[in-house]
Amino acid sequence: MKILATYIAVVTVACLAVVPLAPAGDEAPFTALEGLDLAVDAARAWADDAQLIYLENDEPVAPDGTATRWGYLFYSPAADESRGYSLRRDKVLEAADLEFDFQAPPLPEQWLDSRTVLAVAHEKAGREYIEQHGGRLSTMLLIRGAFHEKNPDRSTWTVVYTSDTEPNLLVVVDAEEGKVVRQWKG
Amino acid sequence: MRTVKHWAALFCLLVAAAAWANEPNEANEPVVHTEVKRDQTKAPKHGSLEFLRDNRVFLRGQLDRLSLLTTLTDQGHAQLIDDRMLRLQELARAIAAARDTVDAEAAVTARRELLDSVTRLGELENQLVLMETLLTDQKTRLTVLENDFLGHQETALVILVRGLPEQGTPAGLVLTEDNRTLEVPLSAAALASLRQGGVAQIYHRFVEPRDHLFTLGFAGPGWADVPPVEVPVTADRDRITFVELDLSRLAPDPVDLGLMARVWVR
Repeated sequence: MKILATYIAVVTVACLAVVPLAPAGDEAPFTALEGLDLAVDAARAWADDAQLIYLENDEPVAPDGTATRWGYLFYSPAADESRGYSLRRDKVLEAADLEFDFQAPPLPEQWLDSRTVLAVAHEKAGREYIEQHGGRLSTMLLIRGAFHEKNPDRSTWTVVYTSDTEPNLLVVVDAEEGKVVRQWKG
Repeated sequence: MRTVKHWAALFCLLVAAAAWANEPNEANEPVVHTEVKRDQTKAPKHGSLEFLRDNRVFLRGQLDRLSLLTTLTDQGHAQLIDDRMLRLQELARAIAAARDTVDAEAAVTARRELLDSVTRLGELENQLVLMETLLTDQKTRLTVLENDFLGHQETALVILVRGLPEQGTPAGLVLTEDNRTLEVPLSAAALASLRQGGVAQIYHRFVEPRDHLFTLGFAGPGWADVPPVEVPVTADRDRITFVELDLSRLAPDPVDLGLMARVWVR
């Protein structure tokens, strides 16, 4: 199969914005909320009724709650399918249908950003865990219903810390109020 | 002047070709083929949603403990009664009072006049109702249009073809991305347009704002063994990306996949 690229001639018209091969800001860190608009745009092209049901960091989260890549999972009730988008800043890096069934309730339109939530989790228990056990932050995930024991209708961020010497520490933060609702090791 | 005519002719051909290209998509539903194959899923270049994949059983277990209650709430609203309706009632009462004060002959005449007045008022009321209905419909249409433009993304991709190979003409084009295939037959009218320098639109859809990889295949006698050509396209967010493929340098035997492509964004 011959690749057309060798023959491509790029012509610019009007407000031409041909994407450069490696945009300078491509790997700039961003928060989960900052990538949401692009993720929704992409998902709506896939399905009009696409609902965000889950997100997590695809690259390590920095102490300020940013990452160079986040993964957003959408569900379409009409198609009964889920599709994930892995985003860098201002760029959809990959889009793929989820190869297994996973139906979570749709996330609300308003939720606290990863930056705010990480600060809360860190202050509550994360910093101590890292200092005492040589731990590190491994995952931040946003989901509705799964981790809020008292009020499963609420969406929660779960911040997962790992250590080589201790079980993982999971800190669950209410995604609307920013309060720690639960924490455990396991 | 000659240039203007030339462009006008090209535009007409483009419009005709676009209409021809769109017709099968709008008229026909996609045909679904199911084939059983060995799983050859390629590992993605960049891992995504790894925690979900590693812990999906646990997360599913948590979600299985939930039940969803979906309720539907509709919004009602009180409607103001038009002042004119109240005035009509007053008029009717005045007419009734006046009827009691005249003699029988005059009453008959008055009744006729009143009936005429009521009829005219009725006609006027009907006209007002009609105008209000039209106004409401227009507002609804404007709201729908506004929602269409404000609420939806505009990332779209248009693929055009121009020119025809000198030796042999494919009977159709086959555009594929992932598991979706778009078959576009080249009708006699389309071929005639392309021969005269026209442009045909073979694809126009909203797409995800990302890098796409299409393959363009060919159908028809002599073209079955010609390998499809990969067409990488980057769809810019909230833009319409145009890709124009020039088929004039294609050849089935010996195979020459010398497609020329122009890409522009609006």
